[in-house]
Amino acid sequence: MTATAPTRTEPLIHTRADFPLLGHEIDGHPIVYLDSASTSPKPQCVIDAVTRVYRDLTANVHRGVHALADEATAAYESARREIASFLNASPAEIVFTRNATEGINLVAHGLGLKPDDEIVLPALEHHANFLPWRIRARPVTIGLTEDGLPHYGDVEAALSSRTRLLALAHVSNTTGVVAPVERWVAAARSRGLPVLIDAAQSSSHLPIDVRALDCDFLVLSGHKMLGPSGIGVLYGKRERLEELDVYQTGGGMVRYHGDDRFEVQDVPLRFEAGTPNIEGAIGLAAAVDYLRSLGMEAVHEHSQELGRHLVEGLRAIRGVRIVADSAPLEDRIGLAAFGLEAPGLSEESVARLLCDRYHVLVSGGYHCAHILHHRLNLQGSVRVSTHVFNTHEEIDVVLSALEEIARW
Amino acid sequence: MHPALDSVFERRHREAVLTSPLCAGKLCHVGRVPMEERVVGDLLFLNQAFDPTTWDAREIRRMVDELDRFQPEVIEADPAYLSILARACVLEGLRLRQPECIVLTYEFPSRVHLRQIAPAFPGVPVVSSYGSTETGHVFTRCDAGVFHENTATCHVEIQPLRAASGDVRIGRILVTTLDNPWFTLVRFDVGDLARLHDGLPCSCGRHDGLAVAAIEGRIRDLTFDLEGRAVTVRRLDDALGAAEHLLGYQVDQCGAREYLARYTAEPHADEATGEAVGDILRSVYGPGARITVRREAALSPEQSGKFRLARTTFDWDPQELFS
Repeated sequence: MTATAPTRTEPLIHTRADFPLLGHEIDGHPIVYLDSASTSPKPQCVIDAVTRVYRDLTANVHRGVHALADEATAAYESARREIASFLNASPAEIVFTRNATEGINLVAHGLGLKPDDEIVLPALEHHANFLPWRIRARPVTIGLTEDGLPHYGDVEAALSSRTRLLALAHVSNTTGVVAPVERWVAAARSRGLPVLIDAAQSSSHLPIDVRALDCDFLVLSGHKMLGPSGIGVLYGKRERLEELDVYQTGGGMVRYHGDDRFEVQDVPLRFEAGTPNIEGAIGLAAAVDYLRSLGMEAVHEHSQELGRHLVEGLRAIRGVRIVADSAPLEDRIGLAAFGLEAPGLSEESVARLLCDRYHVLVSGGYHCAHILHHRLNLQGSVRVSTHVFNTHEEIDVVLSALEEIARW
Repeated sequence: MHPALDSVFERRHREAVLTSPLCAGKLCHVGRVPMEERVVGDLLFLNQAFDPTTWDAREIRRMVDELDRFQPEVIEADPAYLSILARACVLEGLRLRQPECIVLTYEFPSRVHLRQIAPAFPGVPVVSSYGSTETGHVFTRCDAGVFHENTATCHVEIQPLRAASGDVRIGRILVTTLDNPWFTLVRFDVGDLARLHDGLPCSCGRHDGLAVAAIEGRIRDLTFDLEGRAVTVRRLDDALGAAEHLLGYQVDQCGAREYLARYTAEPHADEATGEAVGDILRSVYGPGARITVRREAALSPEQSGKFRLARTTFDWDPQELFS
């Protein structure tokens, strides 16, 4: 039942050679890496870009007056341009952060929220797009279907005079479903409200054009999109960024500091206090360049195909309960989470078993989405997530393993 | 000098400077300050942002108002910066104070910049001045479009490209200064290229000193065609400047045969603009050139504050290019 359909092709199989991690073995067996939603392996070009900074380009940015500092600054700002281009943004609208989480915290802090303010968001959001709002304001959640798909269409009804912002994941890290962000943006526009999109899971699976989306803020994490850890991006419309309170203070974010006053830099530098993650930004630009060389349409199509294969295969396994199973297959990327009726095995145990017995690396647990799992009465889930280097054959490997475990 | 400049520079006059605050030097360390603090003698430093693509409507309005209040006879500007201001004003229906002349300096004036500047300053002479911090004023462009050596202050030589490297009528500008007895520069390499003017006397009447037909751009901004011959910014700009709807561009040569062109265009421009850019670049670099063309939301200046129109992303030795 898990045989690969004859029409399946592997248009991106050549990319496997670019990822040294895929040559890693466990107990003498090559790994099957299906955990990119957690963090993704890095292609050699990213490793080289980061290494080059340490080897040839170690100097601080925006501060030095020597030639190497100039070169490092040029490379860092070139990375900003590359990422802006990837999102169809202006470089001045790109703030480097540690990750998507910090980007959301930056906005949540900068809006100066009060306890009575309301933030409208789907109930399944990752903690990173929930707690920063919750500790400052009142989250108003959009309800879920029985299988965990948000009632996205209820957004208009959730808005009130106290709503300050709408926030949602472009692709949920638990369901793998692409959200109708256009509808949310339209709802926000009708009330003059800003929208923040968490693109941590979507940014390296489908093309993103912030101008076409017309979102006010968008965040992403480098490590989930083939880039280094510790680097992320906050995109913001310039006027929206300028409205935000400063998040952190320190060196690099001021243009004048005297006894009488201090004056902050223009955006985006006013949000980049302290020495930034220079090598991270340059590595992330290399990752973006790599993805663009593959073509984001091709990447998206591949992700969709793997997602379709995965979900269709999971549906055929007895005892599997797929989160948001009712979502159309064409609205998915290569990611699915599910519960599995395997006596004596929790979802975490299933994930560990997949690793130890089958050398398949996946996630098991709550995936930073406790509320979703509570509402579905699930004690966690197993999550399989793909990226450009994964193949249909690997999906078959994990499906076979799960079928075997389900029969125990 | 140019007649438009002569009439102004012979008397005391006010100048508004529009360039990077880094180039203007006096502003970058003091932050945003009122107009009065940005007036130094007869100079007004207009810009306070490192990236002019971040100018919003309020900032544009501020500069328009300050020009009205200051009433400069001359606007001295980086062409990229002035093109952004000019276009914004035309789109918003704001009338800019009309100076007696505009002097473009700091970096290479692209045809796409000039195209955006002209509608905001109808009838105002636009003069390209050429000089450097080290050498002072070297060339002035006459009415006939020829750059004449300023023989009172310097002596200029042109060291030509090798025949294998490119057009031998193009060479690097070497300046010996004559007007500073305390710090004389001998054959100082300014880092720019010029194309020799074919014949003297010039139709403007000047018959002494070196004359060059065009400033060809920075040496470090050279790119290379598929035969390894140098392509100057001027040549690239002459070709790309013809593309309709183009507002700005930056060309990176990433390898011997690989080029990445980023461009911005009028909102109504469609994919044909990008296709035209690709076709033009293939005509410049060779039909086998591998060209990637990307439309961008905005192009930003480099850390120096300059918008480089072209560059290579790999190192090469400029000394090997010249005879």
